[in-house]
Amino acid sequence: MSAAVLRTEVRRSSAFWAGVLVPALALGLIYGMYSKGPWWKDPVRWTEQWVPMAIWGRFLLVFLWPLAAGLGAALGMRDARSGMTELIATTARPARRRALVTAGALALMLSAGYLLVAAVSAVQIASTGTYLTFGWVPITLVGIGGLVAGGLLGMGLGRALPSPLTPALLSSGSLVVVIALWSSTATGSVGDGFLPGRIALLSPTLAAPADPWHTVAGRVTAGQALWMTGLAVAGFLLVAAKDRAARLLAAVPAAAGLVAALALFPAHAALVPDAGAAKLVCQGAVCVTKVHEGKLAVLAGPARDALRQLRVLPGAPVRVEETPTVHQTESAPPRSASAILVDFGDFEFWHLEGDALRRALLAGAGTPTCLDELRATDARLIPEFAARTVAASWFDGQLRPLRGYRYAAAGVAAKAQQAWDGLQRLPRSEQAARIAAVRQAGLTCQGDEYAILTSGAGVAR
Amino acid sequence: MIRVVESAEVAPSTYGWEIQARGLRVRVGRRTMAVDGLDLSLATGVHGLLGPNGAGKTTLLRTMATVLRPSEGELTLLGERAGGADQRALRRRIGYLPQDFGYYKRFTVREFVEYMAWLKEVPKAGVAGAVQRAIERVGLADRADDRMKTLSGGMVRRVGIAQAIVNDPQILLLDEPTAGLDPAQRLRFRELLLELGTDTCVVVSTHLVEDVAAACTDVVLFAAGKLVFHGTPRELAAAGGPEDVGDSPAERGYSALLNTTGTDRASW
Repeated sequence: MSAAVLRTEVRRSSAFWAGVLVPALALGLIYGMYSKGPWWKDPVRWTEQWVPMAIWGRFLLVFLWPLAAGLGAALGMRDARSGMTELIATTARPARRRALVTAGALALMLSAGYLLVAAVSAVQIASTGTYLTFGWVPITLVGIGGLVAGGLLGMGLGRALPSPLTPALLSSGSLVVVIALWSSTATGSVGDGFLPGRIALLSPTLAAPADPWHTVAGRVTAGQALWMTGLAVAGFLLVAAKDRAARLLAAVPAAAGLVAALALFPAHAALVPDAGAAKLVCQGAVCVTKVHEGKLAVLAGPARDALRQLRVLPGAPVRVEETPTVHQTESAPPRSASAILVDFGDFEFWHLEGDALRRALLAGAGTPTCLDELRATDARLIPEFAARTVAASWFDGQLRPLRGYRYAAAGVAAKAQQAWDGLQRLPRSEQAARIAAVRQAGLTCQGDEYAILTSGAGVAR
Repeated sequence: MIRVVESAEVAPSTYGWEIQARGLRVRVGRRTMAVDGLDLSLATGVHGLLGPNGAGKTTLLRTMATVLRPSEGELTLLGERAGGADQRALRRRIGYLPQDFGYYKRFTVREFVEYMAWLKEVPKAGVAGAVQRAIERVGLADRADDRMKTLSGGMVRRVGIAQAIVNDPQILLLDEPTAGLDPAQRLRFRELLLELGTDTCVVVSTHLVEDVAAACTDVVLFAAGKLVFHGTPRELAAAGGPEDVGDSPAERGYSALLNTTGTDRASW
């Protein structure tokens, strides 16, 4: 019989709307916000890797948590709003059993909604993902637990305060709290560092993943699991409470969860490196991280060709390697004398393959730029890009633009043509010396690459 | 229709009266004693609870329904003292239609009555049959799968009666059950009352004296928290004379017992 009642509650109460609105809002945000939502962060695309998928799900709780709290409040208010309180009070079934079925319907539909969103991503990852890990499971479970805790807490508060304003106030209030907590964990946001890290981790949400080589620390997940369980139990006790004393009792599990969570949370860094994700997978001298194993086939051929072409230079690189770090825009990317380092998230390598990818590897004679590409002015960027274009073109004996610099194409093309023409008039040995000097400048970040090409400044004699 | 018969139903009763009040007082708020020293014994049958507004009828029914606890005195329901710590077994055997009957608008009639059957702990195997029978008895079989919010006021009242009888209660408490029913429905409802009264102790609170006269085995007249009269409808009618206010013998008896004069009536 409980099953029949549960089915009725699922179909006829606001639990039903939880099951509809949670995936509708989540998928609407994902597919409606931009062409790919905030999911443009290519190396951590929502549909590419398991752990980033789970973290994106937690990110979405910024919006889903207030929704769950509001729907829960509406459900909690139902008896008072429909005048059923007295009739129910005369029935034999204990309040706790009754609350269990109604709260269970809400929890079931919230979980189903959250899992549906995860499933949309999971089927895509299952077909293309290369790094199979179960690290996403606890992160997703905490997300489900967080959503359910929000719903039950809302339900308990709705029952305790059955005012028509309760759902709206609770939703907007929890949105403010969640955004405040979340923004103090999101690097670069206005609230960054506003709250101590441990407090910020009390939010069910997580900041959007920055790269696919980090996962949530086990202590964070464990602490959040306990905290969310405490909140869910508190919400349930509020729902089942008969009097004020029973409502006060609800504070006990919430406080216990809070204490346990704060004790478990690490002081710094909620994310830890995921060694399995960053492990290099190689084909000869060409290596990518495990999460990008699928790109190895695309990279291997062009990379071998680029390495072969670079051999004309002294101290030529012998390997091509993906760096398991994301290019921080505040600084220049890492560099290595023995290897060309690839960051697939950098626009220089963005979605390139074949010849365009080979030429991107040859840019700057196999070195990354020394400029902070987002902050440097055009006056510095354009000569730099021109020099890198000329250096890449020199190995082919033909000046062609690099795909990654298309946005600055006009300025770069003119400047590159000028340097190219000058370079062509020099003897072959001088040309090689200047290209080698450009490479040296790229590795040390000392000297102006464009000046080296055009005037031979700093060329070793 | 076949239904599950519980052992409690066929066991001989160990009590003399289904409902027995001794010196019962029920306080409402801080000062008002809405039921003020009531001695009353009710057995199987249909008992009409009559009285003017504010007489304490609803408070008495709510106490019998275990919503309120007796402040003083004693109320025994089916041989068990009301207001005790564990009323779960007792509550299974009571049916109650509150004066303000609330319901979940999005449930269908069947889902709602089924939900109430679950709350009343009707044994699982018997639920579907009990729900169907209750809905049929109030004449809503053709609307069983419609949402509650699509029903008229009278139909909602009938759902209220259906949920009250779904657990085949031994005590059935109906507060203003005929409010919102049209004349034909009221006649049908009186038949249902008589049918229920053969094996149930039914207490019906109403303003409508003719309902009581037509469908009740006895009349409880209640005013200012106290019992004024307890007898058969025939005795009620006999209490009134031609000089009393009213359109029927029962109404005249009602007026006489409450000592209502023509001037009082005009000033209500």
